[in-house]
Amino acid sequence: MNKILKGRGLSGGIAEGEAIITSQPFSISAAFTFPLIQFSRKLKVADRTHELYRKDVGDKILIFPYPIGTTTLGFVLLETIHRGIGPKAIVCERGEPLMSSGAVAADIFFGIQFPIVDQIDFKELEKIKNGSIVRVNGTEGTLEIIE
Amino acid sequence: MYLTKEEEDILSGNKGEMLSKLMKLIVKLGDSFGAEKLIDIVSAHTVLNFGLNFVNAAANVLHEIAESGLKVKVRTTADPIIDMDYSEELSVVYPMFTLHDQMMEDLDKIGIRGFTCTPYFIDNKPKFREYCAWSESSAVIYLNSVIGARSNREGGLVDIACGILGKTSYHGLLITENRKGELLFRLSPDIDKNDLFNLTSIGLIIGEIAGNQVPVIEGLENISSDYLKNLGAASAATGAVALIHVIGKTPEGKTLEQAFQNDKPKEIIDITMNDIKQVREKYSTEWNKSPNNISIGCPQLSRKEAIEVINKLEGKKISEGINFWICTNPEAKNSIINSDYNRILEDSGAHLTSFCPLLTALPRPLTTNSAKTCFYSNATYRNIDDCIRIATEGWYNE
Repeated sequence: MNKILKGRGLSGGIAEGEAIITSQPFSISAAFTFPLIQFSRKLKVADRTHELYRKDVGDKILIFPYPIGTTTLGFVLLETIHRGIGPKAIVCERGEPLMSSGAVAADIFFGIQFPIVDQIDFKELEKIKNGSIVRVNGTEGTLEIIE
Repeated sequence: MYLTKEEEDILSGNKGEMLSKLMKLIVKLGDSFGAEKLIDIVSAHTVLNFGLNFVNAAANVLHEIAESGLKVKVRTTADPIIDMDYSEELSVVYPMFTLHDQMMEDLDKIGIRGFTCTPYFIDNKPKFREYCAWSESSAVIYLNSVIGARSNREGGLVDIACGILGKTSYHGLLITENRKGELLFRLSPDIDKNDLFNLTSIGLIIGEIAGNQVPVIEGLENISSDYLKNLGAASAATGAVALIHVIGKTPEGKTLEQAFQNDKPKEIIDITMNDIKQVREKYSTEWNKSPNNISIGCPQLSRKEAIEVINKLEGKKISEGINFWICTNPEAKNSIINSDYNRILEDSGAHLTSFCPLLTALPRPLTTNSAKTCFYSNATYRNIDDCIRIATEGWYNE
């Protein structure tokens, strides 16, 4: 039986993919704005102060403790969701409305679902290995570790 | 959450499809974060106005809102826009503003006017305890900390939805208990507290450590509101800090007891001059050659700050090949340009602009006195006097 971690669903939908985990708080604005401006096909983290710098997070399930940074992050996330180049879902310990707004707006205005789940203890999230296959259910607020 | 009959009506679509979508956005976010109800706001401020080519999806939504004929109910301002006075100097960045014209038209239709990241220096200045829906992290932290009005860090688009509905969801920093200080920062005696470069570096450190908690600073009771603006902007960049109490300075931090709401800090952190040096090394990009651009401000300077910089340029000349940007709000810019200070600007060759300081970054190398710009761009981070020295006397190695 797969391990299922229970948290809170901040934005609905289901996504499955490879996990990429960082214990460093994550600035979506600092990480994604430049690749978006350059119309990059791949979403490599552009935040040079982050340990995921230059890592491709496209199609991954991005896991971090909590989001930081300036308030453009909602529509920056909306843009990555709309272009389909970003991660497939986000899981964190403590979410905030700012980040959720990008995903909720994607659903309301474009009918695209991008699950976000928070309120899972980072000690549990940390145990997940990079590259493990996980399934995020934003409607139920769960993270299932598949392999 | 509890909704009034009128709010239910809007949500169900009886007042139009677009208004229903905007209400859905606010209610969904509020529900996720445990809001019990919506609350009336007096003011909004949006970051959804840059017109840069990376906001297509949000710009499409903005256009739909404008087409639907909806207008803001409360005073709503927006972040800075491109400054056409410098089309030549900014020729590298202008082609990126492909959405600018359409967005300006749409914002105007919706009733959003006044373009600055410091709306509190123009006529969007809420009062103590008033509820607002602001984005622009540096403005939110100023609003909450210095003015004592209340806003969560709303997002671009959500802020406009709130402005149109005249409401936001009641949670987070709108509630007194959530404004309680959590971490206490103390400053070691070797720190010169009158030096802005130290204060903005302290802002970087506090943001890193506090994350999204509420920091309290002891020992800065004489800090000016302008300096606190710059310190706060740094904390809002390296962290998600939206409120800082400064003991003896900010309205909810008159005493330690008030700042911590009679509770104890979760942690006490001492900041030393060595910490400040380390954080500068961490974030500053040392280009080791003369910059193409030097950006002063971020947040935009107050009128007083801009004049202080201009006065420092008296009798000096910006070197060939360097753009020296002094960024302030459009009203301050106009008033300064129409004053005697304009002579110093013209003689020195510095540019006074209402543009976003963060967007004056290209082409690099870039030098800045702003901790926030330094965090978001690959910039060499120096104090204002060094920035002027580099601009007028050339690059130097320390």
